[in-house]
Amino acid sequence: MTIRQARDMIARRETTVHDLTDHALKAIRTHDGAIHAFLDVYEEELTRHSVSSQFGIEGALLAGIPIAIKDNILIAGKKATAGSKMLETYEAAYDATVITKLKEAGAVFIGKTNMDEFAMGSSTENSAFGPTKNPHDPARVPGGSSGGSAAAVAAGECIAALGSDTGGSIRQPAAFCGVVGLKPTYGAVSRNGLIAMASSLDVIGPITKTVEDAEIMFNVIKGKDPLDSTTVELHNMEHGAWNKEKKLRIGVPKEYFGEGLHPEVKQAVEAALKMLHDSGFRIHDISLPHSDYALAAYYIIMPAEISANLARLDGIRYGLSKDADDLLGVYMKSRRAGFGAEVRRRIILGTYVLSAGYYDAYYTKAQQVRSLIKRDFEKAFEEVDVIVSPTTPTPAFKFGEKSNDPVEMYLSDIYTVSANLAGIPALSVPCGVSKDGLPIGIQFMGRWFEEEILFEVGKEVEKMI
Amino acid sequence: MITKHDIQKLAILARIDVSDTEVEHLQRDLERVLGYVEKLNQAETGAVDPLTHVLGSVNVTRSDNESSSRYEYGGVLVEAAPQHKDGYVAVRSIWNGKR
Repeated sequence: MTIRQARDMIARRETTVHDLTDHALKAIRTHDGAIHAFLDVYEEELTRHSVSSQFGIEGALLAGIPIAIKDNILIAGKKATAGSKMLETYEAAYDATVITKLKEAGAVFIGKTNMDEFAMGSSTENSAFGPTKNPHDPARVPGGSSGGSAAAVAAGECIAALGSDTGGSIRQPAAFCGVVGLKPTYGAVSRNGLIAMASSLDVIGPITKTVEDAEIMFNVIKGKDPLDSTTVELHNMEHGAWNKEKKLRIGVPKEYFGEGLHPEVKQAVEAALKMLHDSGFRIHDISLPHSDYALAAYYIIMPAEISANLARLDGIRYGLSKDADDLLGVYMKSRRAGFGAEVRRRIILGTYVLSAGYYDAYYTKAQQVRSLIKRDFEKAFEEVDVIVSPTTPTPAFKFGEKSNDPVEMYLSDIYTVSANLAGIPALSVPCGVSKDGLPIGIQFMGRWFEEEILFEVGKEVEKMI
Repeated sequence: MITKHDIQKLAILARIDVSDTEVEHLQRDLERVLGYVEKLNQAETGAVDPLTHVLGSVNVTRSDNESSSRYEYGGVLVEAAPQHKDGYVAVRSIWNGKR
């Protein structure tokens, strides 16, 4: 069931807010033992409160809609583990701004979803609490880091979910699980109350069953927030260069269709492109010449920011603390015990690239390349309104397949990181299935703050598939 | 080339204990990742400015007044600390075991 369908059914008195919650909780009881999408389910209090507490908000945009929240987003009084032993017992002291907005819209929070530890990973294999399974094939990963949210939506355990995306963490799991994922423009959605990973890249966005639902969720959570100074006023920027009467121009960057792309993914994306062409969109070949450097720049900038952001997790302020003879010992032991291998690896890598003597060679160089990548997009968007690519190079991979080599795992983000580096919005929409029945996602990238164009094109793809 | 000694030094800077086996793994993994990011050296960046913010924002300020009452969050934030006493966060001393 989608948000739209649930709202219509409530309006026609065919279902109640209570039934929607009940339905989601039942689905969790039935499926989550096998899928493990959730780290925390608010079953008891939902059963106790759901009917009475939801009166008076009927007619609100998300009245009674059961929504799952990635476990790095704070809900006051609830645990927020970020998939880490470090925060296993941590309870949030306040609501994230997106949570406040969802509450005002009448949403019902069904629980918190599993994720790679501190959002570092592409498979949920890095969760300290065990991986999530892909609902389409339990031998395969759901993608990550928002794998729990994507699997929960795909398995019908909630109607919609929130994830966070630093290098593809909403879009890649959405593609692997056959659902829709939106990474909004940097600055469109407040990150106040999101446990920070890499602050120049992180965004919060929806994972939903349809593009329309993603649009509804985005419209609820977007907007300037005094508690996140990177957010901006949106009203001046909406509808930028877009004229609804004009046929949209879609750019196909040759760099995204080369080596390493699975033939079935290529075929599905090209088939969708052909259908878009046939229904009147203008298709142009374009080039984003610095694409090949994006992942390398990302793997310098992101760990650098991680090493700074995660310094606050020191055994003193929150979560896990190990005793030692002196203060330094408390830091060293707590961080050793609290962080998993990938988190430690990225912190140490980040410490390295920021250290004296290497800073310019790595960090400054990566930031310069980031400028070039952004310029590539600026130039491309003079010619086209939206850029299309596969979301991922392959369909969902098997557990253990990439976990021994960090670079192999990182390569699954190759088509998604550029949108984070440039700060542009990007949407993943299901566009087919492989021979093995695994979902395939198509990605649309748009101009800054032109999410609306992505929804427009995304809905076209949905109509065709 | 990253040496074992480099890893040990980085671990102290990053405040993370590492065992001897972990030093070896980290050495191997960092070499692998740094080998991959080497390709940035092929990019002709010339005098391009490093990008520090995608929308170009700098030094966003707010008016200088209290956004919440003084005790609204203080208590819960202190209580989130694993060791706290009388409304203060408790820590080990810098040099020896006294708390």
